[in-house]
Amino acid sequence: MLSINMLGQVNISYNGVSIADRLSTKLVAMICLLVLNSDREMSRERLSAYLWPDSDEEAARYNMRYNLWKVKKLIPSDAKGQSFILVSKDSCRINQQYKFQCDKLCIDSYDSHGQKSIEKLLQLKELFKGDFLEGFYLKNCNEFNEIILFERVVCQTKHIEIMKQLAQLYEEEDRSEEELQILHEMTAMEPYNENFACRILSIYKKTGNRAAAINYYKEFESKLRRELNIAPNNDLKLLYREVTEDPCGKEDGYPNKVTGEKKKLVIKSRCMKDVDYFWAAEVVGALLRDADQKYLMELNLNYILDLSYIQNELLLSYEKHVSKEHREVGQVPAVRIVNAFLKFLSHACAIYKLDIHIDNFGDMDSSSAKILKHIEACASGSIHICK
Amino acid sequence: MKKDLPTLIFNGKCLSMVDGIEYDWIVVTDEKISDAGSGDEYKKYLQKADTIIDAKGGTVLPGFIDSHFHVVQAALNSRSLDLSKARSFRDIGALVSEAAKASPKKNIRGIGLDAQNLKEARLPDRTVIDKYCKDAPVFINSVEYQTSVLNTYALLYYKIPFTLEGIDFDENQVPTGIITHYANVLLRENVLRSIPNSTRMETVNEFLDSVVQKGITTVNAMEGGRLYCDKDAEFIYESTGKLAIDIALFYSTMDIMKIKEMQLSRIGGCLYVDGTFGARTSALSFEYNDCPGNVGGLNFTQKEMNQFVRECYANKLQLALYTIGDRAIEQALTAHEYALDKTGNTGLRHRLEHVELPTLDHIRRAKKLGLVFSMSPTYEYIWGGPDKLYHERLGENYKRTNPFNQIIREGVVICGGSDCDVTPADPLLGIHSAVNHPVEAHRVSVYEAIKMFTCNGAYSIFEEEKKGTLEVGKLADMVILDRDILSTKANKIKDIKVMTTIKSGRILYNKLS
Repeated sequence: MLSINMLGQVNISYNGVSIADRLSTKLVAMICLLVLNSDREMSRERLSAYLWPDSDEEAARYNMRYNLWKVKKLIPSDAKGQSFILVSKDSCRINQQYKFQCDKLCIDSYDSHGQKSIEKLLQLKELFKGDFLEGFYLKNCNEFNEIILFERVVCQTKHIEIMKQLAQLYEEEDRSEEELQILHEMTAMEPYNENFACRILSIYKKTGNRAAAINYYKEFESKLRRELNIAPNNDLKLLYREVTEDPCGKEDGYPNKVTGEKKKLVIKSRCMKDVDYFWAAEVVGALLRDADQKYLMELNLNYILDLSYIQNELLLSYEKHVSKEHREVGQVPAVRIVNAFLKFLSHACAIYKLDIHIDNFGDMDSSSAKILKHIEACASGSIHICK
Repeated sequence: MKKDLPTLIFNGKCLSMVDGIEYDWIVVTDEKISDAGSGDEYKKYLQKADTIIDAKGGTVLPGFIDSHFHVVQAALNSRSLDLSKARSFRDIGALVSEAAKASPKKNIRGIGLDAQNLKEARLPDRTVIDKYCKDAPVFINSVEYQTSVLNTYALLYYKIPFTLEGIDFDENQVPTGIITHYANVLLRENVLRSIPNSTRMETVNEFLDSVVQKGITTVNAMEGGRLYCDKDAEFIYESTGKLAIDIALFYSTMDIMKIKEMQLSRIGGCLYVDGTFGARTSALSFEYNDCPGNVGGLNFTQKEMNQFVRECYANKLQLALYTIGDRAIEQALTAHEYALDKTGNTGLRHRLEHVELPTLDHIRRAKKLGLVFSMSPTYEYIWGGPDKLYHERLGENYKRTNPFNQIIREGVVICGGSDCDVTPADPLLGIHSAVNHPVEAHRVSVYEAIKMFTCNGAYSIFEEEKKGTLEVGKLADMVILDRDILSTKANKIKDIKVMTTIKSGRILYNKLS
């Protein structure tokens, strides 16, 4: 079967064998023009005006005759004896009875308002192998070049529409990974589109992939700053703030809806009976040693300061990674220490699976014991306690 | 390479730029100044010297330091088609046709096109350019790089994202070839990125020859960022030590981590706090004279600016912010005050670039903060004074621009730059412009103007210990002029010629026998 691909490098093949190298540029252009007008006849005069605008009438007529003969020679009739092009004295057209495949016609048949399945949209997406008639330009054929420009606009617009619809369907089916993949492809096409960025961030937030969300936002923000000298819009900023302030999408407890791959971290801790919060301070210290300190320091400063009351290493890390400027840490009530510790653990659990080993459990101080009891009651999948 | 025999420069008026000390002669051994003095003492070197240069009474100065320079773009532009003098579509066509004829089927990149100068009062579209060149891509940049114009060939040749904001369409929904906004940013990035570094090296080397002929031995390269290309900054970074003169890189990025990874000590350069007077985008405290209601705009909120400047302080990075209008200067100063208050980090010699419309209060606050003003005096030569661009845009406020004298009197250090290729790479023209400021009260002495392009330039990049003055032990970066600059009439300074340029003891350019 005849196959005509106009997206990307033009290719015309018959039964899988390319015949493009036997076709002149003008001949390819003529076939493309006829295919683009496949639902109607084209006068020979009009075709000539597109392809040989500077030739005199006789030369143009000869060129037309020769190229039509060439098509007939190179593109065989189908099984039913039908020719690819129907030629009359004054006009010609694609024979609608002739079976052939063309990527551009498939794309043109796409109706953004119609019902579409993911499979159908994926098939269409695969057709976009490049720009319409990539690398094509006919000197002096102004009208033809304008058609290329126009069709490129049409194809690019359809491409984005198809991707949007695909992302929409993936969202409806809760297929976040695929949705994310599509959105990233859309961002490559429109790198400054803040709606796309918003959707990507939302997916990361929804799936609990906080680290990816933060990295993505930072990169996007830096791109806008670097290339456009603008800041992200308020919607995006707000979403980012939500991500950073509420890593798991839950105010209390530990994350349990995380699909991103988490790194396992083994925490070894010891207890000291008469020293308040000793075990809790041990856990914080061990996390600072073994986990990503920069990430840990993204926790709200108020929690860091409260928790630094029992573990000074936390404050030293904050000063090293963030700033030496912060308020004084005075006496902190027990309830705030406990709350800050739980927030700190929750924050760590957004990217780590914690395996906490307690060496001498029997010597645990009473405050830490109460915290531990609360953690166990929450039964988080991200924390495993080994006494 | 070590050279045992020294170079002697005698019969000169050598301005050391230190406490008004002058010498008659200087001796250079290897890459440094090894001796300097007055009278006949130089004769002891006549036999030993490998090279003897008679300065013929001309001034000898430290090599010029141009503190604001777009090296790669200026070099690439030097090979581009200059359309700044075009006054009609026909003029553009003639220049494009000529370029196409000179280099058939080669890409044509036009620069400096200003719609305001055209009798048609608009930019041409692709159909206009097609009349003059159809068989090669033509890519024309407007004077401020905010708009590109492409012929049909180029529209099809370059990967244009037609769905992006900034594509202009005709009534048939066909792109006109006029590209602005996001599409222009992406187009420029794609085009500039596609230039191989070998071409950059070749072009920059060729261009630096002309720079050396103007006596420049060090430039502050403002590379990367919006409207330019990060690949330029990376190229300059990788070319350190491989070019004829010293290049101090100012990477126009806000990516502090990247700067830290590259182990650079400074950030910014063309980090645009506001825009330009020309485009009426500089942030003013008053309305543009020729555009009532418009006061320009700031590109950052104060909060964003505070946060960024504070991060620079915290990371001990020297920061250079682009500020033109008084509102932009105000925002930058407020952010510096905030950052200093929060971090207490001083001594980083942060710079404000251009800083064209400061108030006395701004200047005094800048002094307190220890800021350096990196200014381009040649702006005044081109656009300052009555009936020129500044007057047109700012009305009577044109009298407030670039108050060099006031800034110096208040004790703020000014380093001078050309902003090449916005103005020519020519420090003597810069000195001339500062001395002949159209507003008399803003004029400075020749000596102060020279300082802007020598010792102050060195100070502004922490290199005053090794260059910027003529002292024994300093790098032998020197320039010899064809006459005595201090006794030249003020209005003739721009006519002074550079006769010799020496960089680290190597004679790069010499017109003296």
